[in-house]
Amino acid sequence: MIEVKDLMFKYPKAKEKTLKELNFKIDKGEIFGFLGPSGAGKSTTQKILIGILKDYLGSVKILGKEIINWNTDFYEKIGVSFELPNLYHKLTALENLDFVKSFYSGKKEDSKKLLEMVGLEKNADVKVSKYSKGMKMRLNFVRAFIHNPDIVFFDEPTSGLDPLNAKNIKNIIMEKKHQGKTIFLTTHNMTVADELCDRVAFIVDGEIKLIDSPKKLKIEHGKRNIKVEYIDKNKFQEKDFALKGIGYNDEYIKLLREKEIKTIHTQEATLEDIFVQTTGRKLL
Amino acid sequence: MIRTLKSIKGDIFLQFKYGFYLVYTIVTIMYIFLLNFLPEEALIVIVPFIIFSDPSVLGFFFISGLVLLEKGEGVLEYLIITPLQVKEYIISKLVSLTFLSLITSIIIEFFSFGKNINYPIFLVGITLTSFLFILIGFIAVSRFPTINKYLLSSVGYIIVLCLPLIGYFGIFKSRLFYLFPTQASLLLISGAFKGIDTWQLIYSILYLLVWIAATFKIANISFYKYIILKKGDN
Ligand SMILES: Nc1ncnc2c1ncn2[C@@H]1O[C@H](COP(=O)(O)OP(=O)(O)O)[C@@H](O)[C@H]1O
Ligand SMILES: [Mg+2]
Repeated sequence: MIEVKDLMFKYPKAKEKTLKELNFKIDKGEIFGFLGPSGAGKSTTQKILIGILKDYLGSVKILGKEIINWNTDFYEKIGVSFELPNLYHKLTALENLDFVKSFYSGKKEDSKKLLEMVGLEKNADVKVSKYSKGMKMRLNFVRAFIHNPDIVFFDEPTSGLDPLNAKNIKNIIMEKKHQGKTIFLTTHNMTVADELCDRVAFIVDGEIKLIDSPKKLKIEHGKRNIKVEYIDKNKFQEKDFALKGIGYNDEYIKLLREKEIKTIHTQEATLEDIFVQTTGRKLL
Repeated sequence: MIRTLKSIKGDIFLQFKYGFYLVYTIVTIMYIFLLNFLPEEALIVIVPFIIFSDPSVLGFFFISGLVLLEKGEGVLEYLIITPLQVKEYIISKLVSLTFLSLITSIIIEFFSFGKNINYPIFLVGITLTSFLFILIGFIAVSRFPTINKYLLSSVGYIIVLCLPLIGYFGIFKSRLFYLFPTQASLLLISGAFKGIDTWQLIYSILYLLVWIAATFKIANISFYKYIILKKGDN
């Protein structure tokens, strides 16, 4: 679906390259997360992938075709939701959707259904200027699906949303994945990446440090410890044990036999820990 | 083509919603009201001048208003990633705003001068003038990130473009005015009222077309350079 080879990019006035030899591939039906601190080059990469920045070096093939060779048909096939909502404030939600809908030629979604998906159906005829930030975000998010695109790009899709709405947005993204849509997601929120992405790329200073599935990363980089919480002398105690050779660990077995155990947990590294470990940088 | 038509329809809807039609109605009523106080002999000079200023100055500022608004609300960033092409976007703005100019010009002429004029020349003059100013306004506004910087520079654009009015009002005559595309506009619009020589007609239409073609090209480039690429700024 998306194939990026040796992608390099420099802004006209910048001294250094913003992107340095990026390489990655995204398959159909995959949710691919681009993670990194602010200034890493995430938005720049997204702008190249959606065809806005054209003066790049290397190759960016989308749906089998180099991006600079696509005509505007390209935009029939991709949907984008930017980080900041971009909506006509004096139009209602419905008018906003119908306005851009008219530019597309293929099969289109029903505007009202889209609004229902994000719980805005009751406010369909309210001017966007009266919307809260979260409502604008939801409208901005769901607009990306209006022309039934094959690939959808999201920049920080859950930022500024309450937990319930964030959950709903995540559910919609999963549902779209199951419908076979390919999703490129840019975020600095590790939980979102962890819950949604099939694979993530860690990007720092315009370089990809690593690409893998969150699950595998957590297994490989996890501390591989077991934390046991127990009661001893009427007090809450805890102790860590290495997972390796745990069956032969006498101290561990003795503890299980003799003490009142409250909890036993394997200690997984969070994606955030792994990011700090592998890149030496914090997400901001 | 279909997309351009859809966009024109959308733009007219948008202009209506954002109150452009209301402003135009007020301006038109004001013009008609003021023109009613002028003596009959003055009308032949003043009405063409008002009609000239209508598509030009209003076109120039309205296109800027529209672009600033679309920039401010961020929708330009979104329009770029729809199938709507830059040239279709510009054509749509040209047609929708010129439509407004044509309507108001006809109404002003009807209620102030009211006599038979050469309508084909009148309409061609307004259309071409409106196109020219919208394109120049578009180029001007795309260069400036803030309203203040834009407003400052727009005064310069307007003054230069309106220099041929000196000749029109007979203050100072010079062949040099023929270098300004607005000279052609004035010839056409006033020509619709009091006649125009054939060579002037040909010069006016051709010269305006050349300017429109050139500014259309520059507008397309400006859009990419200043609006699309600038958007990368954080
Ligand atoms: N239009 C621009 N011109 C010059 N430099 C830019 C421009 N846009 C972004 N940058 C720089 O490129 C780098 C990457 O920015 P960006 O892709 O927006 O990062 P991210 O989305 O990961 O926060 C930053 O150092 C930023 O300052
Ligand atoms: Mg960004």
